[in-house]
Amino acid sequence: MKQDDEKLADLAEHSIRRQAGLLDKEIQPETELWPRIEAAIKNLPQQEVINANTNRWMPMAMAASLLLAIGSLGFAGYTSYSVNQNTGTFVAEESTLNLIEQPYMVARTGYLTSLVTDEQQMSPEVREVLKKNLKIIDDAAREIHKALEENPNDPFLTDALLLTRQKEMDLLNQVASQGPDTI
Amino acid sequence: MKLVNFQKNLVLVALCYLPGTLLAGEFVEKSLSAQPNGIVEIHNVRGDIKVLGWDKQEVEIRGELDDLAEELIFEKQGKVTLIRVKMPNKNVNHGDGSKLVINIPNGNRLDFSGVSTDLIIKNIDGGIDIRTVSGDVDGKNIHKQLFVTTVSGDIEFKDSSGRAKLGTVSGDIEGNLNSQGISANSVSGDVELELTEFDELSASTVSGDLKIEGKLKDDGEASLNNVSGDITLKLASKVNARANIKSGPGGSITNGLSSDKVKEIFPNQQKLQMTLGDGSGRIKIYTVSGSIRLSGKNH
Repeated sequence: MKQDDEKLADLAEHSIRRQAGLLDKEIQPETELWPRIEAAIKNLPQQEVINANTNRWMPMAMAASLLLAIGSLGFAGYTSYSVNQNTGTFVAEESTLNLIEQPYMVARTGYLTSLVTDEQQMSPEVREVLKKNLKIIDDAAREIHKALEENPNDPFLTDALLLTRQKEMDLLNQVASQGPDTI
Repeated sequence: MKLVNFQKNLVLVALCYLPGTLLAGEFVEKSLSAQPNGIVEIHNVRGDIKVLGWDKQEVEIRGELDDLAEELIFEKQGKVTLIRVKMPNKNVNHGDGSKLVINIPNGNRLDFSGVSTDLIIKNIDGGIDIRTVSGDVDGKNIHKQLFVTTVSGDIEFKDSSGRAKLGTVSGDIEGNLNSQGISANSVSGDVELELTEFDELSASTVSGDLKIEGKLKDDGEASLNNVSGDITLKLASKVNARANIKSGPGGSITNGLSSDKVKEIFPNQQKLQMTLGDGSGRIKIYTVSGSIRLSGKNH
């Protein structure tokens, strides 16, 4: 059983290596998100804020659903890739970095849009923690991207990027799910 | 006439102080019988709460409620004993939070949610499930399960056991645990765990340090990773595991666990693969730019 697992892991590693070789090096993590969020908050019409407060959990729910849907798609993408790789019929149309980053970027946009509408309800402390840690994650992702440029065939780095993005989703999810009387 | 005026002024002065008196947190002392294997569910937005296990089959609350508390809900709902310090739906940035001591029966599980409540928990053998935002969680002698999530609060456990799932964003995690399965995750906080013996350990951060000490069981698995923090793993006793350790550009590996040599890989990376003992378990560690230090008794 363990041998089978190892074979599967080797195959997955091999497939990631191949995809990593096709990296689109132009994709970079977004820089300094918070100024844009703050600008968006300032530009938000007052009426919208009031409406957002009334239905403040709806965007969160939508973002969470979006994330789940995107997460499923991402996972399906990897699964079908591995299966096709086994049969030797895979044609790589997208780079690994695209596969990893795109779903997270879409999900992140969804979350951040929701959090912008919710920002005025958020305690300054939570807002500061969110801001600081999003920056830490962005810096980390940038560091991994840079490392991948030097060594595109490294599955540890693609794993690290996946885990870093997952941490970002966990962070956004955690802040979003604190509930109306907590953030 | 002067006396009447004086009395009027006295009444006015008293009225002026009355709202202040009403704002002060109300002192409560209440108890309810509870089931032996029930759940005690506590919701308190802010303050300091101590939850202590005891051998009586009742839940008792003593202390001062939040200055802004509207109501204390304390009732039984089947096997759940509910305690909710109800707050107004408005800004709660003034006044003091609750200061309560709550005793719960042995065997009961504690479910807690709060925002900036610091929590001290002792002698709970039915497990805990805690969610806070900025409050610290300090536990001692907690058993069965330890599930804790905070955003910026620190988590610390001593002399505790059971399945543990600990998560923070910027808070630190520190523990002295006897736990078979442990998951500890943070973004920028540090994780420091002293474990007796474990089957399964998963710990990760983005920029925080990981420092783990304990005995990996045969067939056990340990997975540690971060991006830029340092990772230290100190394994007690003889280890039986295959280890796959990797550091990215700028990272480093120091092997004090065996005589196996760390290999340099271009560009500027390091790798260590080794089989310790019969190789039945698995150790997987990686960092992108941090350092990895292994130590133990395998040589």
